[in-house]
Amino acid sequence: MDENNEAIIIGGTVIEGKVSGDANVRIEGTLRGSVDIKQTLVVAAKGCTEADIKASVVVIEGHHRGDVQASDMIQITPSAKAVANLKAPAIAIEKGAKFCGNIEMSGE
Amino acid sequence: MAASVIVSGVKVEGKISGDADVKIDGEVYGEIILANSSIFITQQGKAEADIKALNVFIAGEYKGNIVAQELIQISPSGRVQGELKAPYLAIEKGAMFSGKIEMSEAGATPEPEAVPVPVAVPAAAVAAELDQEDEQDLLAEEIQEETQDLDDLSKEA
Repeated sequence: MDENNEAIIIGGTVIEGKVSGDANVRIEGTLRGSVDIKQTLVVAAKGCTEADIKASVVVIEGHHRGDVQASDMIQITPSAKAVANLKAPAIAIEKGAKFCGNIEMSGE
Repeated sequence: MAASVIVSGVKVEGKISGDADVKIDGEVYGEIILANSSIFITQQGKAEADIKALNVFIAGEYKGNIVAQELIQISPSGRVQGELKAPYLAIEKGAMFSGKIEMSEAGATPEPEAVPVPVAVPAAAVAAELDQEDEQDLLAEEIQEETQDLDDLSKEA
């Protein structure tokens, strides 16, 4: 099994449905639906997601709408624009991020 | 050309569309509709999906119906079950195939969900036929608006 196994949805690709599994996922395109993965999800700066997300680490650098639950941490970076309810033991929202939603810091 | 990659270990259930190539190393169930790009199902890949694409290259497991605008190719490691329709077809020795083949004419255009003809149309009609990029921008704009209020709030503070 590869280390650093990363699935990537590039700009121009639209997924409507559910993404699940055991790998890192990087979204530079569009995703509508849900994500349930065991590793890291990154919504890149150009990415756009409208989905409920469950992962170990979630990094949002682009547009996102939907609930986010992480077993490890959630990071909202300066380029992010997110409307979400966040739940994770550790949450970082960086200066410049646009965020709207509820936050619950707790272990799973 | 850059491609979206569904790596081994990842499963997508639903619809994949757009104008980028898609490489499947993992699993895809549902449908894949690409305007002018191709699909690669690698040896580890598995797809159970109806496909409409430019070219489809299968080296793994596939079950479903394919309509390709150009070529469908099944490599020796491919195991395919379903209906294939394309102007050009290649099944290599060692491949397993069961199903139906229909070779359409070269240059056959896809079903009439095709690209809109550029005529002066009212905004509403154009909006109804957004391509994938515009759809992404629209969703991004919606989210941007929802977070815009925060700017106003911080100015008042």
